[in-house]
Amino acid sequence: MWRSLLGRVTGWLRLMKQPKYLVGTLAGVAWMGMFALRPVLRANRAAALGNRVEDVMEWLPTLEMTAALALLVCLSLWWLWPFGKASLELTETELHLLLPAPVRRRHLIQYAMLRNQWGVLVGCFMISLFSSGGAPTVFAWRFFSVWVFLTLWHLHSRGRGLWVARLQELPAAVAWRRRATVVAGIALMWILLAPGIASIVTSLPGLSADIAPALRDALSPDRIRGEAPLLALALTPTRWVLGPFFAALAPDTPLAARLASAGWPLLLLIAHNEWVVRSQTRFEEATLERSRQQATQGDAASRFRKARQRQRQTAPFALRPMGRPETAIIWKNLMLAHRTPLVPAIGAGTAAVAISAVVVAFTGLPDWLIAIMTVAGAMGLGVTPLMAGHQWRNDLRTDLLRIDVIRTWPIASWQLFVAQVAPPAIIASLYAAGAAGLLLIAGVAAGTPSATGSVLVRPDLAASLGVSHVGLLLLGLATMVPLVAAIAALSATLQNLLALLWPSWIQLGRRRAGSAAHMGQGMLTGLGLVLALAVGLLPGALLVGAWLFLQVGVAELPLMAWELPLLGLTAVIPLVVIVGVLTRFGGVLWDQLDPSAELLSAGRPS
Amino acid sequence: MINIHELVKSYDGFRAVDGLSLHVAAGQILGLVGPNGAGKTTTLRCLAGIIPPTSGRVTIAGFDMHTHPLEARQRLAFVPDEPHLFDHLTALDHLTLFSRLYGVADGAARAETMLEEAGLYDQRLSFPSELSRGMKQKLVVACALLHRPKVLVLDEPLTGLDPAAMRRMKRTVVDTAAAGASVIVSSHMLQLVEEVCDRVLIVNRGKQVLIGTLDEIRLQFPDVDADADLETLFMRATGAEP
Repeated sequence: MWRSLLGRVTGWLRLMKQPKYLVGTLAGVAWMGMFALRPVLRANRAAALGNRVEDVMEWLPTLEMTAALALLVCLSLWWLWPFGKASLELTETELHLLLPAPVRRRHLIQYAMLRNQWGVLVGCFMISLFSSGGAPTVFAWRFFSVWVFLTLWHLHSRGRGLWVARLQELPAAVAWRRRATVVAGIALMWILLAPGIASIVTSLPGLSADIAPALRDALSPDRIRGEAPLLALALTPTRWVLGPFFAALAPDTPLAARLASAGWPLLLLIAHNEWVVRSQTRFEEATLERSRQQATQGDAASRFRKARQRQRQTAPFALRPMGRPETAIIWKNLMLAHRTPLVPAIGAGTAAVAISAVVVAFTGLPDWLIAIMTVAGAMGLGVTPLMAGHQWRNDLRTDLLRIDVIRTWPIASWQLFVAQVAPPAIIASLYAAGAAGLLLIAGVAAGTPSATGSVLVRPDLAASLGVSHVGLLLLGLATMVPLVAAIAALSATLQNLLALLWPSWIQLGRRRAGSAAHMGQGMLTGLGLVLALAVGLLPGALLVGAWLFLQVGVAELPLMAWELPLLGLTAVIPLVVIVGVLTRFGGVLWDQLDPSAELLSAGRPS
Repeated sequence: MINIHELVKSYDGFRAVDGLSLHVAAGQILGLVGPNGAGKTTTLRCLAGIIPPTSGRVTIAGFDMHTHPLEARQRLAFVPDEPHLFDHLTALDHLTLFSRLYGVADGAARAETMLEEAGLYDQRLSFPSELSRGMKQKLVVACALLHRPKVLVLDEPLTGLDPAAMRRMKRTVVDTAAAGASVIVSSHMLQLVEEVCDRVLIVNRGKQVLIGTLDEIRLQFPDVDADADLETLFMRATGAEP
């Protein structure tokens, strides 16, 4: 564990020698510091929230009982589930090194359990940082309570998995007896608890205005102890597990009470740990299988192997041998997402939207369906361009893994960069166009007589802009589609620039990197991306704002519908210029990139 | 065809390649040998334009890799030590991609020929994950030779190949040189180097130790047998054996 930690710290310090990583880290630390200082910065807001916090405090005992009951139900169902794996969280390399080594079995299992603590500790830190909003002692207590819960959950999960797997190693009769004992025990427990639960359920209030206090009283610990003592007893262990968490939520809990609430869960934790490390289950093969599965998870290979012969011969477009070489990269990277031929797909999509719009214009749609389509379409239109390439990573975020192939290709650097940016931008634009099509259909439906609500377009809006309802929708579509394409291009450009600037911090390929360091780095790069996107969108927004101000505010001329596409273009032009400049910059970065330090010998496949 | 002049590549003050110079004429095969960490792969990566050298000059078929990278790369093919392929492309897709990248006019027909020659025609619609290590290596070489390069650079080309695939790979290297290309082969398999290379360059700690034909290298060690093999000469040159 110590060596592992030392290796991580050394690798991190090496990266810090480069100013670009140091500056990035400082920015991230400053950002996190802002969260730590939130209590000071938001003193007034905290005071304003005081009353609401008091209301919540009244509910805490009831919430604790309810959560404990939910946890007991989950655990019972979990143990009734007959399947489980004996796998531990070890990599293939660790298995090959540690299994033949003179290490005791329980120490090996203990190592696997401790190894998981990296993720647990970072998770606890982040949850506490974002949710505490209080003094350092509150942060520390919340950290501890979350840690206890997550660690116990992990130990219980592994222990149960090892126990179920052990049954398969035992003689059938013995295994059956053990399983039957557990199932019978759980069934008996719930049979014994049933009268108490029924009594509480019957005392629950009906739906009325003052349901809240009645509900709070019905599920209060005192009431449950009085009416269902067996249930209260059965809930004791799960309440121990949740105790520190709820003690952390109540800021005025005395220290002695908090410490007392920590004792039982810690004892449970020690008992769980002993249970797991003393397991005699053969975990080696299952662990090896798990590590191999994880190694290929998200791998393009596993996705494409399933393709049929006919699918393997299709491509987004036919690539002829002669022509601009960067087209080959676009062709290749589009295929990382889909092999569907582009032109027929666009034609079919357009036809489907047009036909649907015409049909809907006559038949109309229920209001609820219009609302769902509107929300889905708006979300697709708004989010897809911003997330360009995030799903498929069909750009430098995958190709940097093959840099010793790509780098030898005879393509000018900026053209290569453009070819890398284009596929995620194209795919995001197509998805956004699909969302726009959905909005169009919803808009057409909203304009039909059967639509009772003004879901998408106010009936008087089209008239006030001097155009018909359908005309306004089409003009809106013509405004949005180029705009989202430009935003998608900007987003893809920025994400690829980040990959070139901080290749060690970017998740390369589609495989999820689960380590704490990657999580933190992902947050930093995500923040950088959001800021850069905001800055990139600003000039276009300012130009549109200036246009509207001069026309409507100064000249007092009404806005006409035909101006919408022009306004869209006004926003698009600065974006295109910015993307152009950034792609040139990307080309320079590609030329200057020395992959030997950060890609070829930094533990990444080259 | 290949000229390297005073090539230096440093990492944090450590010189992985330290003033290496060499020349490989058209039709020649140069074997690059050296102990682990001698700087062979770094040299080849600088030569292929994958990593920028700290100083020095690399010229491919008369084009400087720094000032005319596109022209130099157009005439170069690099086969890395691991057969790196794109997981989502079939064998035929790979050749289609390389045809367009290098502007091979008869790309479609040549791709079919290359697949047949490599014995991969039946696997033309297979993804890399469905190919054996040897098949992947053959596909990488087919992609590399598709555009009839004037310079071929191979880093450990025989790693993981079975005897039949090794023999085919040796034949490919010799045939490519016979067709007029300059070839550099880096390998730890000294028998291969001895068998196919016209000249041998022995490097150690980033520096050139010896360069020449096997006979020329033998002359550097008067105390060794006249028919001493490359392994003996390598041990002497690198100081691995007295």
